[in-house]
Amino acid sequence: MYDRFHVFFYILISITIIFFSSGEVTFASSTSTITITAVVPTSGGGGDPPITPTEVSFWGKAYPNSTVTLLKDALFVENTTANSASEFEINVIDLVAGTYLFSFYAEDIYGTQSALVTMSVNVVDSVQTIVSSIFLPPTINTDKSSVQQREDITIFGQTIGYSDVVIEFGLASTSSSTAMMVVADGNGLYEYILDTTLLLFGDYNVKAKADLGAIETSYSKVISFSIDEEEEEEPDFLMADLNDDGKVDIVDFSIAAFWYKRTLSEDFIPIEEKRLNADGKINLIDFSMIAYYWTG
Amino acid sequence: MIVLNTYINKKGEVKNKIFIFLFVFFTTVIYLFGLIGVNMVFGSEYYFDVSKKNIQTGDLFEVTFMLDTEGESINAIEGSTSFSRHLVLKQIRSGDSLVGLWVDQPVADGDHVNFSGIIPGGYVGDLGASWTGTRPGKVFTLIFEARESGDAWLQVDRDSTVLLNDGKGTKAQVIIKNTNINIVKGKGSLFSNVISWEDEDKPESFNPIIELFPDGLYYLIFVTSDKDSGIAYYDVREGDDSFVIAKSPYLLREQYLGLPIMVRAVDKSGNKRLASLFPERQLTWYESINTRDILSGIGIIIFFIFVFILRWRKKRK
Repeated sequence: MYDRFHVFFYILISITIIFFSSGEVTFASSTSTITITAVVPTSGGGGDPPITPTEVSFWGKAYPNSTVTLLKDALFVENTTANSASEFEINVIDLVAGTYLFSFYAEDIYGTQSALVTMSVNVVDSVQTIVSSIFLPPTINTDKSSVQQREDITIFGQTIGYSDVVIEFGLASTSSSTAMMVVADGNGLYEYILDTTLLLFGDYNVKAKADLGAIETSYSKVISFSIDEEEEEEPDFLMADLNDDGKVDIVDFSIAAFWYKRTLSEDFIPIEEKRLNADGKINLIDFSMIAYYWTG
Repeated sequence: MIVLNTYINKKGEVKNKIFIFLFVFFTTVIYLFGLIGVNMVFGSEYYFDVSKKNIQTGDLFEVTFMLDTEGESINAIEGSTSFSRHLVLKQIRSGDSLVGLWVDQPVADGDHVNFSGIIPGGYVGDLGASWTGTRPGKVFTLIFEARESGDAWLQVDRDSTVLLNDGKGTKAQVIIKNTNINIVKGKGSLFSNVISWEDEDKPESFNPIIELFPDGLYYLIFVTSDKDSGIAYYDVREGDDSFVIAKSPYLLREQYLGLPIMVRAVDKSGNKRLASLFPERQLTWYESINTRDILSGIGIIIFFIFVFILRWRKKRK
């Protein structure tokens, strides 16, 4: 009886182990938390409260003097320029109460766009909603998309001035990665020269985030490079950019929607193969890729 | 085979070393996880939020189909919901959805509502000034009439999908929570449980664009949103033709891009927003002549011929 009791507990614990190992366990981190507040009109010294328009104000940080673009429900609204301290502010007026999908991205001095920071904001009628502490992730780029072993590759980009930048890279086929830290200069520019001598052949993913002490930005876009035995031709296109205009927007969405659940034409097959998931059809996975690479 | 490493303590009791070790180990781990604040991500959860549980036959009531991403960033959803014969679907509202762009607008197909859409940039949850952090978002709202008494149910199709915002279209774990509604016999008061809803706002302004597609043809692309009732349909007018119901991308009938184009977005309350697109190039004089002009011209010529014949006859007399 006593042994059965222990066997029962052993099985219970084994189930617990399986349960824990099958689920994804993430640790709470100090990643930036967007703050949202509301300014509700009050009557002050009596009488009717002043009429407040339904609007949203966004305050955040991008990169020094960078262009910050705002999308509303995935479509372009306006852009603004961040000041030398990386700060930006955008007001969106004349809104109807409801839930909006607002997205931001910044363009660095090299013309590289950051990953989108998207938030679904509930806008209340006659209330000014203030969304603050928006920290845009760093931009990231490499000087080459493929190198031969022992050749250096430069990883560079822009972020908030004087912030620590954590660069993580690893083989695309594994989940393990290596992290390095560099410090951005006053203009937010950072650079890391990676020596590939000791690295294995293969495709690598690299991403970065800025560490501002108490807070961290989200990760940059993930970009790839490969270490090859022979030099390979560099691809020169943007993933999910189906009409080759350098943007991923409503046009690319519409092109994908056109081919959704249809047999692809001979002309479109190579485009799908190169810029989407190369399964010879357009389905939700392709739309997911378009959403991921969206530039607006 | 499980081997239990047992021993006998001073009191003569049989103890198991593995059990004690594992018990101490897991207690410590769970305690430590609690201390450092672990978020266990179990996957995205689809569920229904019913406006009222006790419903009488004849009642109208709202059921909001919700998605809780449990902190994961997701960017595409697809699936289907179904409902029992006790219910009659009166309307689908999708205006205030978390979905940014619908691939397939939620539409009723018998006792099913199918949907698919994307959220460019990803979605974690709704932010709002009246709560902290994020909270689950609406996918769409269904307005039902309770037709029969009994245990009505609403289900989410098991194949309903949520994809992670990782650039690879990785499937997120999906948890489905179906719901039951007890409907009792009664007179029922129409609109009694439906939140009052007046949509007088037009859909949002938008700018249609013309794009040359890989098939070598020009298509019209348009999209907008309506935060209240949602977009019911679009219609398009090329030149002087009448409006025709259209879906983006719309193959332009006139491929020479010479005619002004109008696109109307109509919401489910009938409010309309008009967007215009003017010719990209000036037409030559013969290109600008349309069918109506030709018919008018022929009519005028016939009229003058008729007048000429009458006068000629008069002169002869």
